[in-house]
Amino acid sequence: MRLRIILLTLSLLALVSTAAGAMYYYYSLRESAVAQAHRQAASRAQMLTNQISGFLSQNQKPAAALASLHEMQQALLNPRDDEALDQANAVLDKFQRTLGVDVCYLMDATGLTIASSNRKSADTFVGHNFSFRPYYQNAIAGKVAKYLALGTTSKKRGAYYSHPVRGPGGGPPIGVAVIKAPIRLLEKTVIQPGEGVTLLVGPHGVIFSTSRPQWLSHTLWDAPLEEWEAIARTRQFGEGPWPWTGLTRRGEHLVVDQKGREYLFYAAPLAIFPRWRVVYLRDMAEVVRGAWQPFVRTTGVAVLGLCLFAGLSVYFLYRKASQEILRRRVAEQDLRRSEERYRGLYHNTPALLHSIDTSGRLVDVSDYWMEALGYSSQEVIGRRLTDFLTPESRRRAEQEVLPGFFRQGFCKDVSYQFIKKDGSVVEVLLSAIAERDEAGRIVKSLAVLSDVTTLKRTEEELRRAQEKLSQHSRDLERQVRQRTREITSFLRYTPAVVYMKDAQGHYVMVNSRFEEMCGLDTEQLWGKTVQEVFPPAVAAQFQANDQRVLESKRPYQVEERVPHGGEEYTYLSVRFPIIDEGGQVSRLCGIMVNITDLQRAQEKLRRLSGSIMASQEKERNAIARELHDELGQVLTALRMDAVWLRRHLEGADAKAQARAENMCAVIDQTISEVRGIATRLRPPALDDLGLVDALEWHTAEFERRTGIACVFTHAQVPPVGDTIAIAAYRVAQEALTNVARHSGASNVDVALRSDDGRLELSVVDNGAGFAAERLSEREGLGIAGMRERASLAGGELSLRSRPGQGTEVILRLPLDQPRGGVH
Amino acid sequence: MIRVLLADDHGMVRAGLRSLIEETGDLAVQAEAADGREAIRLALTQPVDVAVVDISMPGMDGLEVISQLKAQRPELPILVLTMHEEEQYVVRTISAGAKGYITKRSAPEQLVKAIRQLHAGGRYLSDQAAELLALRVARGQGGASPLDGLSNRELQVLRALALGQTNREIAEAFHISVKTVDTYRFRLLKKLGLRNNAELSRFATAQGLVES
Repeated sequence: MRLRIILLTLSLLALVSTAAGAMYYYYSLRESAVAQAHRQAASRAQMLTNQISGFLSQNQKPAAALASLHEMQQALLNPRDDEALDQANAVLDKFQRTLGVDVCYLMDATGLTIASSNRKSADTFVGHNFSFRPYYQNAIAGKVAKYLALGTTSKKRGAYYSHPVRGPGGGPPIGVAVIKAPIRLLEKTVIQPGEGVTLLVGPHGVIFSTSRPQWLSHTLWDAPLEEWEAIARTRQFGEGPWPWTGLTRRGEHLVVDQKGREYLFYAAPLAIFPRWRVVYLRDMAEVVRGAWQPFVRTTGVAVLGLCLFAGLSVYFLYRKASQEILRRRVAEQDLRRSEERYRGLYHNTPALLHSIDTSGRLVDVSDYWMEALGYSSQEVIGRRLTDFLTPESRRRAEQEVLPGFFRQGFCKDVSYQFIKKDGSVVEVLLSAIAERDEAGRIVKSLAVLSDVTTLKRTEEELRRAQEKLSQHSRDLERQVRQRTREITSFLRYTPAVVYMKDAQGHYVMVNSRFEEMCGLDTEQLWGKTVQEVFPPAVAAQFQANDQRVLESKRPYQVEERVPHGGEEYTYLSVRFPIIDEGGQVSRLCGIMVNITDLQRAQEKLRRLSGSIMASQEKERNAIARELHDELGQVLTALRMDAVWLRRHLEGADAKAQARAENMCAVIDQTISEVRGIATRLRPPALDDLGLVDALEWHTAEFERRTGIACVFTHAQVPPVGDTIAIAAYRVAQEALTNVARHSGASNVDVALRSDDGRLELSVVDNGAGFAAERLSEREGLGIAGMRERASLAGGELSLRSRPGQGTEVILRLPLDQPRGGVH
Repeated sequence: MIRVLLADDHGMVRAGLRSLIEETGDLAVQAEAADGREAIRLALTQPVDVAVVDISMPGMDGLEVISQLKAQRPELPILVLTMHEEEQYVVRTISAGAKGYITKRSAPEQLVKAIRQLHAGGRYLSDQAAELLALRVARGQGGASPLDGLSNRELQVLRALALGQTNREIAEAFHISVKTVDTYRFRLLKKLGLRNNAELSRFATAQGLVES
């Protein structure tokens, strides 16, 4: 806080010094401006005096001229002569107009006005006697006179110029000629409102003309009543009153008005009017303002900026300091809070805490202490600690523990039994340290109690849980051993080769079959990779398949060939990954079944099937030939004889001829049937003419029989071997049979072409087709047979069909390696 | 007297044929052979005018017999007499050099007529066989012919249509249904890029399938 005040003070001092500097600057500036104003005012006053003198001297000569005129003389000499008066008046009028003055008039020797230029106006001077005016008195005395006064008749201020009018031949004046010029003109040109105030001040200080109209006919200084009477007596300035301008002198050149406004004051006497002065006043405030304004305009912004900068700097510094102060305050608060926390902790912590004083009375206990022992604060504070102990504990405390504690200043793990409010006993371990005052005397203790009742109970429970756990783990171990035995037995006695590798390809488990396969035992295999166990070709094969499983993380089944014992064996191998919780492959397992024997059996079966099919063909061929050549020939011979018989019986025995005729028909039919059977068994064209002619015949026959348009095309088909020819023919035959039976097609294209050492037969219909997934249902429809034929001839059969889009059977056979003949 | 060489492996058939031939009086069986080799030997050694040859004899392929006879005695007309009724046989045997072709079944009615016709320097073929032959020949000219992409049956139908036959007539002639004929017609037009029967006719003429 103190720092804050110091800062604030410093800031204020800075501001004050800045302000003081500014003030000093201001006053010095003002002083120089005032000095200059004095000089200006003095010269201004002198200048005004000169100008006014010049102005007021103007009409002196015209007055002399007027007085010297004959008409003036005549009028004065013959005051009853109207004509003379008229002439004088005309002259006066003329002067008045020419000079632009107020009025020109003529007075006789008594001071009575006899002629005047204003004779026709309401305020005419004619008939008025102005003998009291000094200008009359001077003129009648023979002197030229000038006079400034307020007209008694016209009530207008004016400058009077008088000149004596003398009689013929000289002598004393017989009258006076006067020109009255208006002051107005002077005020219009010289005494004008401007920088200062110009005053034309007459005797007694009466202001006759001024640039400040409200001061007209005022007295410059405060005039006493006698002065007023004197003024009134002169009749120079009317009848009054002449109030005070309020100005008071302060010094030679300084006056002040009643509002406290100061003016520079310079006066100069008017030489041509004795006792008249010209006064020039200059408002001090204006002077100062005039000096100050340009400064404000030019440097004001800079000063303002500087002040602003200074203010801002002070502000920021102050803020910075405030923050620092705030930070310290926060730190103090933290400290205080931490103390409070400590107290809170003491009371609220779930520990049994108490303090005793040197007399062994409790001075402080934690809330948990009270909660645990069931007492309230009132029941505890001020009581002896030993009051809450069992008699045995109390004895021990009084005799051993407390004296020892107050001697040493600490005690550790003292076993006490506390009595709870409900009478039950709590086992505790007490540890305490002493709090000392500055002099090192023990003031009180701080004790921590551990409720070992719960601890003891928990220990017991833990022990039981451990027992249970170890029992359980023994069970588990037993189960694991049992399982392991089971699995090991499976692995040992399975005819399959089983192995497991880690993700890097090291063997971590294999079974005995695997050992047999590679000729190494488990210890030798442990941690090895395929490259270290198998020959390069086999290892490469295994590794490629492993990689596939590792990448896809899916099981993979493949046939693998492994040589051992001088023979190559084929295994059906299944690999599968074991995925860990992170989704990574942790193990790669494989089960391999030796299918070499199975494959050999299959091959044997295939060969058998082939030979069966071949011998079936052979058989059929033989039967067909037999039927065709032997039975056919016999029937042909028989027919010839029957025809012969018929011819010879013609006309001889009509009945016998009819029999012969009938015989002919029967034989013909028999021939047809025999041919039909033979051809169905094996079309002779296939053997005699080749595949193309046989298919040409068959397709034409098919078309004739079924009414389905069957177009056979062939291109560049070389002579083919029997196996190929028979396979192609039988497949075409079977396919066409299917077309006729199932497709409902109107159109079937059979095409035979050879290309790139292969023979391709296609049978494409435009029938109903079938879904690929229902193919198995159709396998019974000769498709299996077609495949078998294709396979025996070393080729393949592909079948493509979609519902509503017909069926396409394509047989591809190799031409370059015809297998042995069928016959 | 027309001297005939009978070549057939079946004695009983030969006997029947011989009696058919000899019943005429002006035809005589000059020689009889039971297999191909013998047939060739006899044809070369015996003064025979017409050879009647079965193409399904043991020992030597019937077509081989024909080509050898053709090669060694080109002037001897060969009549093929066979159990086979398939048109393909006709085409092949005629292509190999035979002048006539009859089935054994039709022998009692046609054999003598056929021998006479061949002896007279003519041919003896059924109409259908003749046509098939013509188609083969038309296609067999080599080079890229527009006919190459057509099957025999298509060619047949094309020719028949070009000759102005109706669908019904064609169906009857080839033992197929009218609907099938129509299918063929449609396929022909599509394959050959033609629009109607008149264009088909012009095309067939241009390709030499029919005489203009």
